[in-house]
Amino acid sequence: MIFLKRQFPIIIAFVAGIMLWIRYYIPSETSNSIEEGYLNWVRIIVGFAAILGILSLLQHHLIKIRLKRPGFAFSYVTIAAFILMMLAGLAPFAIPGFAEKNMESGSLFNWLYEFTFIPMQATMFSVLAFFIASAAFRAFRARSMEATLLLLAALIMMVGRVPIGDLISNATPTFQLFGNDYHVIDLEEWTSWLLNVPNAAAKRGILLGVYLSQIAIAIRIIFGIERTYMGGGD
Amino acid sequence: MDFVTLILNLDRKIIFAFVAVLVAWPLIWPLALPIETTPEVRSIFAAIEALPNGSDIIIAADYDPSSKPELQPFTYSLLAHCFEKDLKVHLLTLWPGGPALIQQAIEDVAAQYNKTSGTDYCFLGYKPGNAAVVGGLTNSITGTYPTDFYNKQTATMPLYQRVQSVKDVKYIVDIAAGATVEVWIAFASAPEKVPMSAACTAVSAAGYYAYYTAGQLDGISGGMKGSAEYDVLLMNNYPTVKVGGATRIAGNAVKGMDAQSAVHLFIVLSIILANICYFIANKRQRDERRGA
Amino acid sequence: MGMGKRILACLALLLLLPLQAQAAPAPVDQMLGDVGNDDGSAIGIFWDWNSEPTGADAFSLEVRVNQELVDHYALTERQSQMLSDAREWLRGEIADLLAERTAAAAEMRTANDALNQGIIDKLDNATINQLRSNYWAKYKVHRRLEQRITSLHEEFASRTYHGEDLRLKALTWEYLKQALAGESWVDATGATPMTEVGTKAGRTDLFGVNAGNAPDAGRKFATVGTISVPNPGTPAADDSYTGLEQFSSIPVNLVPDIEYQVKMSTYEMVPNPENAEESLPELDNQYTLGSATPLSNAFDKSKWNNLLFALFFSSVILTFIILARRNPNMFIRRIAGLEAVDEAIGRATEMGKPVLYLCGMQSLSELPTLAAINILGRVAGKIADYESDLIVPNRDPVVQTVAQEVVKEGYLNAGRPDAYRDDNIFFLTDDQFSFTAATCGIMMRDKPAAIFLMGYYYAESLLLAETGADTGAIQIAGTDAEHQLPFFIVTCDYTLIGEELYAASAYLSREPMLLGSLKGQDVAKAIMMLIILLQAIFFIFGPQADWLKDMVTPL
Repeated sequence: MIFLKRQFPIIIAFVAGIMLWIRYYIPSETSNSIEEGYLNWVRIIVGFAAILGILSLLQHHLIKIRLKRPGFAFSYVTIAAFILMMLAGLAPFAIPGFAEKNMESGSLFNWLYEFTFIPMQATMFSVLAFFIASAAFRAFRARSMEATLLLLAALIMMVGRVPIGDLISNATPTFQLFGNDYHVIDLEEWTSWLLNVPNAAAKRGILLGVYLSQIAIAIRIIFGIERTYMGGGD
Repeated sequence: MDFVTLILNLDRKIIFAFVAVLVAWPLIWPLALPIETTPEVRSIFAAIEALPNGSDIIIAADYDPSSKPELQPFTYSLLAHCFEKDLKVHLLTLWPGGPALIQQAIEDVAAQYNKTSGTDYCFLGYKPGNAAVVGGLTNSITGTYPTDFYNKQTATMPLYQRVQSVKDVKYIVDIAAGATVEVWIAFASAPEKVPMSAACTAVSAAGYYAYYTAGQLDGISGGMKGSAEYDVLLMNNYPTVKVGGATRIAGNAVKGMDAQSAVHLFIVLSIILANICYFIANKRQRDERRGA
Repeated sequence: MGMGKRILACLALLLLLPLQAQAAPAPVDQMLGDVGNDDGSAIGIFWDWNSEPTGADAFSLEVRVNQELVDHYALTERQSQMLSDAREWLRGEIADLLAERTAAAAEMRTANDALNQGIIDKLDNATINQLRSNYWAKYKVHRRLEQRITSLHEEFASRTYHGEDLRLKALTWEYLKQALAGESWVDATGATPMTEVGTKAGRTDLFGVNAGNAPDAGRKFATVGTISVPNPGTPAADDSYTGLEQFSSIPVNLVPDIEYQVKMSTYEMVPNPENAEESLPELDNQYTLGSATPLSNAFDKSKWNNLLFALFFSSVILTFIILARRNPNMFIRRIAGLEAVDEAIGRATEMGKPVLYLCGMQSLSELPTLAAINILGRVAGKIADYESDLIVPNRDPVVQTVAQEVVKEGYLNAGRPDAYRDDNIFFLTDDQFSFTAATCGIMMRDKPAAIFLMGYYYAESLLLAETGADTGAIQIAGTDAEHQLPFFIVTCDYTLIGEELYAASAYLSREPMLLGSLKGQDVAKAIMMLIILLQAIFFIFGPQADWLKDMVTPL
């Protein structure tokens, strides 16, 4: 039992990890089919896990209803929506009022998807605009030198990326330097400098660290040094 | 409570209300602000413009309804541009929520230009597994997508008698709401040496500038602003592109830019206001401490 | 030489000149061989033109089909039995349906025409409704037949699939056999303008970034890997049922370890008399280039520097892990976000409110999620110690099952298995914004005292973090999604940036072996920085150092 729970998963991780790593260097057809087989296995396992997920969701909400935890009424909504969507998708006949059955266009399922699910999704995303406004209002304070720089960069970016920025830039006088004309305030030029120079440099630095960390964590997992993800503790 | 403390402790719902009004106002009564184009978007347009007529292009529309306002206008303008130049378009999506939007876009634009599926373009549909799909396309397009979105055999289409894999196309554009641009660069564009550009949401655009400066992307279009710029470039270069009428092909993003300008300006002004109040409050505190 | 002869010679030259100009360049000094880093299906060909090609000159490469290649695609006895059984079955099932469908389609069209005519003739509403429902009835009949035929085709496709598509294999075999019988050369590239042909310098993927500096960099180079075997024009009659007979050609990959003969044809592009914008290739000459055998390679040579780097970094990291076992007291810099973990959990206990933990939006096979799970394991132990509640909503059922296991183990190790509640670690939905909405709902209702946002996030980052900030919770975020970092930094109390997320598990556990890997990582990073610095210095002051670029790009 201890073997099955401790050593066996590590052996699987080691063998699969090393095998797929070596496979990367071998360009033959067999090596491609090994990877394909592995991907198929992943898909199959994920398929079964989806059932577990649904059961977990239902269990969570049923317990909530049984124990009358705060907000348990919402659990009724969740379960009702779940059952409605499932019926609409699986019913072997067209629901009255709809031309088609199952998930074809013109079915109840499709209607629900298009006219409730998609608008709700778009709504959630749109809330982002409001949240950005309030987060910016609260967070951008010139508390220190760094915060002030961040604030200035944010202001230039926000104005420079919309037509108003162009209007402002074009309204300012121009001067000559090395034979070229420059605007005193050129927001477009400044925003693209901010994006192309400091932003790109910082991103590269972060990414380099991230990729090295990913290599390190992959090695720790392949060699069984990091086992927390198996629930194995230390 | 005086004005300064009121501003510093402002309920965020008041800010929300301002944003709501400022979004709605210019959408109903447009201000028609002029839109200037940036080099990042101009280079996408130029790259497409430079393709020989009749060459093949892959357009990956990897987004779903939540980023429709930002990216759908770009898809329309890009498709119109491709059809103006008589390019053969291979459309696909790596996002499960994408097909409905793309179907709408390609059918609208193709109808406008009298293009037929299988000969002038092919909408391959959705397939799960990001990198695996893109990697598959570099081996064989018809092998990865045996049937298109409409369940037609791809191997028998005239389009795929010439084109076998990503190697055979001249250009790739990824219209992405998520992290698919890296996948296209790493698995298709770089190994097969096919140049590509990306159009992404404003949030993620900043992240792709590293690829742009490194030359791995020809151009970047960020958010609705980028889409609006592409619209403007298209309408300036191809005056015949349908702007009015039942289905607008170009100019859909331009409408949104006024609202975006207004909200950006509001945020900038409110940040400045909040900072002034912050300084006044700080000064008061210091004075009090000194007085005590 | 007499005057007359000279004039004659001049005339002859004048006559010859246009002829000479018309002839397309011929390939010389050709060299054929295997392509080093492919799956063994391609032949590489080097050559030069004997004169400068013009825009009107084109060429194509052809390969001769041989017996071994045909044999490779031959169906086994079992496969051909399967195929003929499936054909027999399909023919029995589908024959009547096809006839019915044709009839139904005709009826549908008639009904549609009648309806359209009715509308044009402005008949009264009742009649039009009658016509419309008639059309819909016919439409449904036709549609049902279509669906049955489609499902039969699908069934047929699955019956004829046995590790590979047997129908396609059979067709390929058929086409190849015909090509072999006709002793024909099969086209591999199509007519390509000579001015567009690649050179060695252009194929840095095969010859390294230095290819441009090699003495033979200007040599023309092309690969032949796939040939388009044309339809011999004898599709089996019963294939019309399966919709496969329309192939005009089938792309066939060359099979490794067989010798192929290669030929080049040169063309002149002449205007198409039917379409002025198009031009057609007109055959000029043909040259036998020779033969070559593509080899299936055991190692992709373009990746050797990748392998070297991988081995080097692995050994550095493993060395430091071993060193760490000998000398466990390694210095690691303070990470404020992780120091605050205890504070956050302690606060939750004081307030009697739960802790909310998210593992990011990706699946378990992504490393940020694994890192988040690792941190969850460490955090769960502390939470059990402090006797707070831990809520973990999940977007991926696999992550959810693993999270349950990890938290249970954390509670067990802390000696509090009784406090663990299975239904606190649950699956919500795998849709991005539905998940976000549900999680924000949990934040607003349960008002957690501490919120951990670990792993990879997309556009929902600010929605989650701003809602959390509004509830007044202490928030600790950790992500390597660099474009979401600004949002976390402005809304969370502490943010782990990029690699700190991966270091967190080691940091919290203080386990020497994990700390050792962090040290190894630092050394590897120092080497990378050195390479970047050197390249920058060379770029500014000296000539281009290509060997440095070679080290880090595919060869």
